[in-house]
Amino acid sequence: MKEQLLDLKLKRLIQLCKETKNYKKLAVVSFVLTSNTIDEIGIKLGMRPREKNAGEKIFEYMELVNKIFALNFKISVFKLKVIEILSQIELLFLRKQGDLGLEHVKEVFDIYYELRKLEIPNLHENINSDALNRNRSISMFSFLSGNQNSKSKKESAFKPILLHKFREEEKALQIQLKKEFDKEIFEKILHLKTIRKNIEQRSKGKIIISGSLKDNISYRQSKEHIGQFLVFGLIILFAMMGIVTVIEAFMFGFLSVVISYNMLICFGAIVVLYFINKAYFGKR
Amino acid sequence: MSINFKSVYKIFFVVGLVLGFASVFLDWYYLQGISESGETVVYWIYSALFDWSTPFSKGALFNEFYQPKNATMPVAIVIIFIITLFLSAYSALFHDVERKNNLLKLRRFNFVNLSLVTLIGFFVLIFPLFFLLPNGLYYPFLLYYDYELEVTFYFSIGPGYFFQLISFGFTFPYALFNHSVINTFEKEQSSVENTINQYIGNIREELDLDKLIAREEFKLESTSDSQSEVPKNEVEKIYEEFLTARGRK
Repeated sequence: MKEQLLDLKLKRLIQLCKETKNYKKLAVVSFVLTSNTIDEIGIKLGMRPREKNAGEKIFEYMELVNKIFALNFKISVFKLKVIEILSQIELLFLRKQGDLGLEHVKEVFDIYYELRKLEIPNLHENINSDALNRNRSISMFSFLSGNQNSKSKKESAFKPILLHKFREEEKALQIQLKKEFDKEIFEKILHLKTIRKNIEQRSKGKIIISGSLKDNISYRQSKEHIGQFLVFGLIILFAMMGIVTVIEAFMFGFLSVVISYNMLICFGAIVVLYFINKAYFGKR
Repeated sequence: MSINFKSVYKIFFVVGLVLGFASVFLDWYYLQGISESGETVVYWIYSALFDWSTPFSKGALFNEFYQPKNATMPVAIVIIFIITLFLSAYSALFHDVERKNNLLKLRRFNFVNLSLVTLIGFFVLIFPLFFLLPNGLYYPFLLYYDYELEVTFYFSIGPGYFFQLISFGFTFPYALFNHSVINTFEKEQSSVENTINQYIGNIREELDLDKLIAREEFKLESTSDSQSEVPKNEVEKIYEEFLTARGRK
């Protein structure tokens, strides 16, 4: 919708500029649009923004994007011919301070629409459900559900297998991509890489939730375990009372017989609570 | 039927807070001495907020002899306890962990809740250990007959301390529940896509096409008298060619 509106406005501006022969304005507009599109593509691909203040040119940035992606994925995002044409026109544009002929302006618009046709996957986007389904052989969320402490060991054992599986799949997809460029495959490679890095860097071990907590399945599961907090609280309470009683018994030896009842109640309650905890919450 | 522990804990927590608040105004410890004739000769009451007090006037020497020395908790701790208690009440009543976006806010309140439980624990454990026992004030209850003085002494914790015990049991589960939730779950700071789009929007060069069109229209209108009009159909044709060449038509 936004693009359609932009096209309509652009159409009107082109008409007017043609009538007034103000090609300089068209040249500037075409370069601003191309520059914005290139910036968007670069950032979506996880690149740094173009250093406009340092005088980094559009074609130089395109070359940089191509170089990095050729190194990582053995693909070039922008066609070399496009970069070549744009480099010539951009240098001319800068030298002549925007005074370009209609033919050159047409070529820049041509490049702009070519770039708009590119379906660039957003590297920063979260993994979609489709991608998850394709990786169903590996239960990605198995380590995310409740009881973190007991599962941390299993998780660390599972991690290398998971990473190995991801690397293998990444390699296979890269081979496919070498043969023929496919947007979906490319997107999947990027997703796999993102997940792999997330797993590699995962240190806090927290479950990230995006919506409401009560709708989270892991939270719902973990709620079943919270019953023991009350038991823990009572154990600590009786332990504190028991400690005071024991110290009192040491301080006032003649009270030992009387105090022993208190001690029995306190420590007896701790033992009972321990077994209650074991019976009701231990097996889960 | 499964129990919703979280809701139960929350109710417990609020009750615990009420009891904790009430406790500071109630008596924490009683020391009473009754003579053989049934007359009260010693009577000391301790309140966390109002210190040791006695119903006897200053001249009662026997009563004054039994006045507990250095058995007073600093009032500052009690005031800190009351402030913490109010902050915890605010978090429990207005910030439910399950509600959207409350996880981040609760991270700040988690510290307050844990401090509250620690303070109650401090009262439960430290008060008898550091203030009662060194002064010969027995814990929790003791009835002791002094044969020399022929006085029966009653040592007993009061409702204030008893409320603290209950308060600990009631506040601990919810505070720990919140702590465990905050340590297990993390709210996604913001949608990555939104952040990226915002960033792209920030670095994008502004282009006001409406303004450019308006200027161009103005320019055209002002020169329309002197210039011959370009046939509209011709402009349309050029633009059609332009689009066709770019594969958009």
